[in-house]
Amino acid sequence: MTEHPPVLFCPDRESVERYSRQMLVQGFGGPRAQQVLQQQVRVLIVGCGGLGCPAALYLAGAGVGCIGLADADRVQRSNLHRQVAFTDADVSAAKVTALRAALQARNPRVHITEHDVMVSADSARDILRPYDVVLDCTDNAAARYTVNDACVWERKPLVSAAAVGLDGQLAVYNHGRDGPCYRCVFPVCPPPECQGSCDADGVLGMVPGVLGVLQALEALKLVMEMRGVGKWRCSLTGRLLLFDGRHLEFRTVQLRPRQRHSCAVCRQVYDEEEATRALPLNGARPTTAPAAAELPAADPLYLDVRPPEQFAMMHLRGALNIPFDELPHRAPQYLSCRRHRHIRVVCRRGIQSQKAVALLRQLAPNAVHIENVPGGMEALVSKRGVDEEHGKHAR
Amino acid sequence: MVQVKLEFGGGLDAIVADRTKRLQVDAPVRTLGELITWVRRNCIREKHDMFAVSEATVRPGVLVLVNEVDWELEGTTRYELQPGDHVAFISTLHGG
Repeated sequence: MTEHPPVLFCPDRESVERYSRQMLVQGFGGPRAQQVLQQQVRVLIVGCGGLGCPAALYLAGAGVGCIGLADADRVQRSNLHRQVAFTDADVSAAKVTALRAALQARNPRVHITEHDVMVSADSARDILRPYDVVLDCTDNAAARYTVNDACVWERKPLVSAAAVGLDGQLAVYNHGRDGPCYRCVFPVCPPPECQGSCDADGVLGMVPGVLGVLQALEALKLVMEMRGVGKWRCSLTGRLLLFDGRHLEFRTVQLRPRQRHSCAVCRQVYDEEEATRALPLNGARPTTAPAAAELPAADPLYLDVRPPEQFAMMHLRGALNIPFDELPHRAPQYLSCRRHRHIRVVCRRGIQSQKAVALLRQLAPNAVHIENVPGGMEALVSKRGVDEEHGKHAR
Repeated sequence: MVQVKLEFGGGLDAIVADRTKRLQVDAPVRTLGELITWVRRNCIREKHDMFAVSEATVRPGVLVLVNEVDWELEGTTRYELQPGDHVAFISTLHGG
């Protein structure tokens, strides 16, 4: 019997431990996407309050490599019911400093940059230039217009949320050529007496909590789409999500496209730009899962029937990955190839591979020897003496 | 007379008679612009300028939706109402 080849591809132990549950999600893009998130992605959070705290905590947890925090305020006791990254001991500390500590306690791998300033029309463009995407977590209309205008000039997509009382709103502005900016939809700043605020009108902490978490989700999908890893699409572009916490209703409505001729900021930016110049939104195209090298004819072909997300986490050298459901239409080409006279089928625990063996025997010519790997990857890992904790997460 | 469903969101329900979020009305109007003028006179009980400052248009920061679609895509004030239309007035929020 041929000796099993050693376990080969595996991201580093800490990444596996820390991120395995998100890397396993179908379409996430596995360890490769995680690496891109850690090494290339920069997200700016403007406003470290009821929206910014949950958004930052989740983005740090997800392993976004660089998070910028912008806020000039200090923590007040009246913030604590909704600004969940802060504790009573943080009262009167600078929000950016206290939030940084909370994020690093959660995930020391994340690099945090503090911008302990009020984002102004003068400073906004310089502050947000290094980032891929901006989260508007501010608490007033003036800041919202300032952040929006800077995003249009710097061509940064803007994930914008707001919450007052029991109502919340979420939108992705300035994404792609046709996605409207905030000013396209709300061309004129409302008069001060019509600008509600949490300080004046109150807010239940859960409402910005819900919106901040959704903001982090859309920001994550957006940066992954921009970096071309996984199967991500920012799904909120051109739409506005309305959350009614009183009746617990979510709905999304269709917004107008970018108002290139009437929006005060888009008109300037796009008149100056040649119409053919596309927004720099896409980086490298997706790379496919690790190529399955074929083994020399004398060796058995290892056919791994687990989902691609599990395969990407750890697999046998040279193994071919065809998920169980895809066997009927993808396996025959390998079965008819003369090089593969001996096929060993492996799955996670040796159960589905038995069904796969039965199926393949029906599809294959008689001369092909097909057998099951008893106990699957779990048995192989324990035989090989792979670090127990690592193996538990990785398979 | 056209029967339409009205909705007030983002805090606008606080200035509507009965502080209600949803209303069904028979309005003697033809266009969305006329409806806004009618709603300001007949449905808003206080702080009328929080809804609309002048005739036929809402104040800045209020998004008008016709059947869940931004009114900008429907011709704004000139849109001709159909029986059963759902018209929502949503105030943009700024808090966080």
